[in-house]
Amino acid sequence: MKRMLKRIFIIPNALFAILLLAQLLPNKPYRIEDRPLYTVVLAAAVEAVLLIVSLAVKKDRPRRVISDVIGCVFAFLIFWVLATIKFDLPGNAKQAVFPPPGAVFEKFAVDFAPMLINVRDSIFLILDGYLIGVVTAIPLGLFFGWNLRIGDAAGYLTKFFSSISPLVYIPYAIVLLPTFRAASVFVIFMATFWPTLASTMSGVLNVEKRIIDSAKTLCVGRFTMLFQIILPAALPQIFIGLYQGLSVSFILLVSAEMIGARSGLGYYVNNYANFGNYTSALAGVITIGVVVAFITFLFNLLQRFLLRWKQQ
Amino acid sequence: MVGKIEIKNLSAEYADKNGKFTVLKDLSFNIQAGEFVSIIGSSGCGKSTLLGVLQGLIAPSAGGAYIDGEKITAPGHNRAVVFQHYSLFPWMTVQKNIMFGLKQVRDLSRAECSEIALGFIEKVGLKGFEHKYPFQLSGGMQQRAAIARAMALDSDILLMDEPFGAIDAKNRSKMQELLLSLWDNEKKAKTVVFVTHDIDEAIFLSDRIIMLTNSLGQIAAEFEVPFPRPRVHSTIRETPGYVSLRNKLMSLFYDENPGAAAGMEYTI
Repeated sequence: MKRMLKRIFIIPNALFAILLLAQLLPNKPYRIEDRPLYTVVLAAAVEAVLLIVSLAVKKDRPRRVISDVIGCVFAFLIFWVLATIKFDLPGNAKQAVFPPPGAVFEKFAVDFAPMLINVRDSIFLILDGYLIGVVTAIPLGLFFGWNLRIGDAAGYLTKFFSSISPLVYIPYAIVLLPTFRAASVFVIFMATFWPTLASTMSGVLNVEKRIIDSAKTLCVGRFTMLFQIILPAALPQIFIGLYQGLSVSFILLVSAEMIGARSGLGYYVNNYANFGNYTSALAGVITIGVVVAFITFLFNLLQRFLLRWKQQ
Repeated sequence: MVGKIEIKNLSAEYADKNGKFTVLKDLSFNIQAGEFVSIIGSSGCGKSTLLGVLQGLIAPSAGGAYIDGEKITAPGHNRAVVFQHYSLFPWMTVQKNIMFGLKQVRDLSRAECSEIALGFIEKVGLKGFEHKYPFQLSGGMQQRAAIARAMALDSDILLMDEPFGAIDAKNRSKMQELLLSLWDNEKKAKTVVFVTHDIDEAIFLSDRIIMLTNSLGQIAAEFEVPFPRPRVHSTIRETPGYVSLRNKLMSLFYDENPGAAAGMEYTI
């Protein structure tokens, strides 16, 4: 019982209370109207998650991580509401760029259906570019790293190419590829291909020689050597490139969807920012953040599963 | 009987960043089919290079090694290998490792592979660990699994490169007894070439010991080990002739390797 109470009297819960109290402060005159109800509903939902996690999760570390993250979210929301509508810190001139939190969260409710479509389209766009990048880069990396043994030269070349921003290719992609979407996919593909190729090649070159010898003494065929020995042995390093590719893909999403896209999170943010509607643009930015966090979480699960044979 | 090894005028080089070194020069000897032979010598004497040639991983610079009259040019199905480290693939469980080996070498169905693998897992005392990954096992258990894989391949020849070199003394004795009991009980008489720098280990296991000189890898001496089998550690020391053989090997080992005495590894 005492331990349960100890799990309730934690700073994130106090921050939730402060956030609610902050809503009661008088509003300054502000260009964008706040919708405190949306802030309260959203915060209450997050608080519910926090309470369930505090009481139900037995392991210390994940519980602490989740409650700390939620605590940071509450702290940020408090700062946000105080800095905008309660005290108007930036000054009137900048009010349009700094909407109060409730106004932004209202967009989630109002724009829920189109936002889902945007999320779906963006994920498909990234998935297309990313998967094409991965399925081409890994076999090529295995091939270059293993067969040609020109690892050093190829290593410098991939470093050269991966240091070029994929945005540079946009005009060429638009001219050469049949559709705007193909050009967007191409940007994501380039963001994925080079880091994955580089990490696969260095992974192959760093495979423990004694493992290769062990496989050779079993007389494995070429194909088996490449895909059942070299690939899994290099996988820990390949994942470094895969992760880098994923991060850069999301960073470039907004730019990729500048190329004639008619939907998608990047398009949504671009579109509203261009018209000065930062309330909606911020809602899009937050959605991108949540999607990225969720996909990174899934990526880590996959990585943990595929590398379960390695001492963590 | 198959598994006869002939080494004829074998020379081999070892190459690293500093250049090429001749580590074996004009070496010749034979190993009978079904014989258990240990190669001993201090580190750098070329014993691992010799085993590399037998594995087919190192090409000789002159002469060659022959199995039943056929020159070794590549790894082959007639040989199974146990290394000191990394014999097993870390991303496969114990059972998968053995099954993978079987699939490469023998033409068997999946069910047969699985059955043979489980049989050898039991024989080496790893029952209950078949679904563990190598990192979840101790060094000794990993080598048990590596031996199980090598045995399951049912090859004519077993090549072992200091397989117990990284295992503590107590477990090493157990592993030696396990290896001998597996070898004795196999239907097929396997030829074993066992590289070690441990004199007691060589005496305990072998029919014959070949000691290499510590430069240019030539034969310093050869010893028959006539002790009866099956051998166990608790009684072998009392076997007549054990002490004198051991002393002879020791003194020769240190004569040949004046530097090795400083290592204190074989103090009497």
